[in-house]
Amino acid sequence: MDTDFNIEFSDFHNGNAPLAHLDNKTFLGTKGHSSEAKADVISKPGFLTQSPALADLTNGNQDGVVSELIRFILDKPTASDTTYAIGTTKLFKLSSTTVTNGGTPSFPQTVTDMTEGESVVRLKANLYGFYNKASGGDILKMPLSTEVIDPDWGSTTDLALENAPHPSAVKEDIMVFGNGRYLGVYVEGLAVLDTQKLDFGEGSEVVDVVFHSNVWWIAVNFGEGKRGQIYLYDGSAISNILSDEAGVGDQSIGFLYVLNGIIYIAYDDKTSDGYSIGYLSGSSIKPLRYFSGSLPDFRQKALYRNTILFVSGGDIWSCGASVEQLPVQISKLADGGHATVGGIASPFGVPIIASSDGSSNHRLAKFSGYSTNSNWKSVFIDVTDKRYLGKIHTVIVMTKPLEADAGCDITLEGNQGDVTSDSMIVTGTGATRHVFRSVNLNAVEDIRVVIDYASGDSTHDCPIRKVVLLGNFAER
Amino acid sequence: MKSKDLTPKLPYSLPPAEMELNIPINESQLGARMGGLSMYSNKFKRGYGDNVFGSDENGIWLGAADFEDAPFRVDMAGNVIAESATLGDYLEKATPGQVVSGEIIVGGSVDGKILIKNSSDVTKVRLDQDGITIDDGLLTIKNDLATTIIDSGGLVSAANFPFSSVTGSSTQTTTSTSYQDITGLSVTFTLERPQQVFVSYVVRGYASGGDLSTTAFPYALFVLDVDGVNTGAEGFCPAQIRQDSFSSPATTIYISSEANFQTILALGSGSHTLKMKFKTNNGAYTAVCDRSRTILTYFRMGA
Repeated sequence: MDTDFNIEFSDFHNGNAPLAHLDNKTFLGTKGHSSEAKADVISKPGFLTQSPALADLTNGNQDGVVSELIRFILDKPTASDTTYAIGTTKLFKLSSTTVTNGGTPSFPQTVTDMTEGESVVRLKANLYGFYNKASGGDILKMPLSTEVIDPDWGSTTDLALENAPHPSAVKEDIMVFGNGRYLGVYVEGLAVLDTQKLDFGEGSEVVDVVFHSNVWWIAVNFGEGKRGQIYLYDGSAISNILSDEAGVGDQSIGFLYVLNGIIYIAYDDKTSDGYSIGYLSGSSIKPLRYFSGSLPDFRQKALYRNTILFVSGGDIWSCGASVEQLPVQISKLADGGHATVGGIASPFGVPIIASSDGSSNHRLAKFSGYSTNSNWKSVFIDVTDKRYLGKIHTVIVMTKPLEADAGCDITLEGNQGDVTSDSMIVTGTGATRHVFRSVNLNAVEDIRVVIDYASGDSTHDCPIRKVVLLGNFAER
Repeated sequence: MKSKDLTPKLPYSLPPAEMELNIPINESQLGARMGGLSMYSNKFKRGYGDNVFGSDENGIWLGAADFEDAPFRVDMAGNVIAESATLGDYLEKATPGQVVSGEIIVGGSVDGKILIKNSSDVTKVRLDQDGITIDDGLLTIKNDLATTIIDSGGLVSAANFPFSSVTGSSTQTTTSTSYQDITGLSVTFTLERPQQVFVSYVVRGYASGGDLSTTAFPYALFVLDVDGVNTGAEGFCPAQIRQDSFSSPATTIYISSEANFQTILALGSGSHTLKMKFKTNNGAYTAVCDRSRTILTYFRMGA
């Protein structure tokens, strides 16, 4: 019999293992899959590296002007290096580096009676903000030239809004938005606002709207969020008739996202512990990958490295393929900041994330540098052969040439985490191959690799290309 | 000694994203769009802007982005709304009751005609470029007030020639040489449209008194007043003077005479008043009108 064995870990761009959302000690997966991780596998395809760290924008916390949770960030600049965000009571103005403090008018601007900002959208020369009040909701209008807010433009033009989520989308001079059980429409060319253009009925709630292929795609949850449906609505938004629909089933929808001409859907399955990212294929929803945590909503999606960035369980996740020749992956990319994550967006290319601790600490931060709060764990591999157990005697780690202070710790877990080896430190300026011949781990039934960046560097990362384990079978 | 490869693998290969995200061939689409053609389970449209042919749960339409605004549309009950129509051979509807609003034009490039037939396929009414022909039937025009019927024998109307007349009682006198109204000999009516009115009067009167040896012969004059204007020839009623040789001394007896007048007035719409007036030819004489034998009559030639 073969007395030696080898195990290789590479192709880390595969992301989480297929069952990682159900079992963080799964055995099912490839050499590139993780059973549990918070790491970056998309920025440098083929390499595993540290999560991006978060750096507050200037004035971007409670010591600056961010004194509340920012709930939505406009994902498109309205001018060079300028966009807007809405919190619970205020409208913020920001650039790629700074949250505006002051100016004329003075930002952030308090919106009269607002208790919960929902979304902001640009339509031609104006910014429109949707928000809830103690009772009901409204739409603010702000000309981009003057930045003077008309806080109740919606209710003075048509009926007031429901107290509900208000996703919104724009195409040319048409703005479509969710309003509880209704879909609202504003056609600027006709100066006509109808906050209840379509009625999806009692117990329903519009949770997201996007525009794609000349139609509006409307995600609606029914039955207290127990059932989801997607409707197609004519692009002119004039008719009172829906063009088509597709049922998601007994699953509520979190958001819709259009990427490269495909409609992606985040939805949950109330019968299981996980959530799904799928896509619309014909009249059916094809589940792509699964994740754990919480169901993101329309405020918590963005584009990053050709993948969908979204929020789940207080962390930032990525789903997609950096390039189409690689498989679709799902992975936990980074920490969200404080415990409660608000809105995320990439108006200037780099993701910006809002978070709050639910008390007095709030932040608006962007990806910057590298996080040492990052790790990666492979799937477990069975290393038994009849009566024999496996003993690892050599670990080889292949990296990019490391900069000064860059590094990570490698440990091996055996017997489904019951035993752990001593740490093996990967470091050394310029080094690319790191060989460890002294592995303090007895023969085990199964084994997985754990990579921890806690001792790494925030400026110079440690990209890993391959990890190889060499061992032999020992009779027990 | 060979080394056993324990590198983890899946029982299937991971497809690249470009393959995994492809929609399989023959899979039903949630709507299909090809240029200006869009097809959904609930809607079909071809064209752009308002130059659209479409179909949805309302029906089918042409000429607008949506059903409600289209100049031509047919709903699911088969009701047609069209801005205009040019019909060739028109097939009768299987069940009675059709509603057409707006304008119907028959002919144009050819002589048009409309034939209305009975159940024996006999044409009873024909409308063509020469007019209306009714075969052994009636032309009836009516409203809540009256009915006019024209048949092959002529015009039958209960209200086509409204008329009225007025007369008086006792006598009325005047010594005025200016026309005075004859009390009670007045009639007022209202025309809905311009019309011709036939007016006739018969008057009885004379003049008396005065010195016949020194004053011109006495007579009363009558005239028709139409809306305040003396109209037509005056009625001349001289006195017939007799000597009553049976009385002593002999007395002069004046006997009235009669005059009549007819005319046709062309009056406009509105209210009109016809009056009789009279006067004496000389203030020395007293004109007398016997109103009980004076009649003013009119009838309207048409309703």
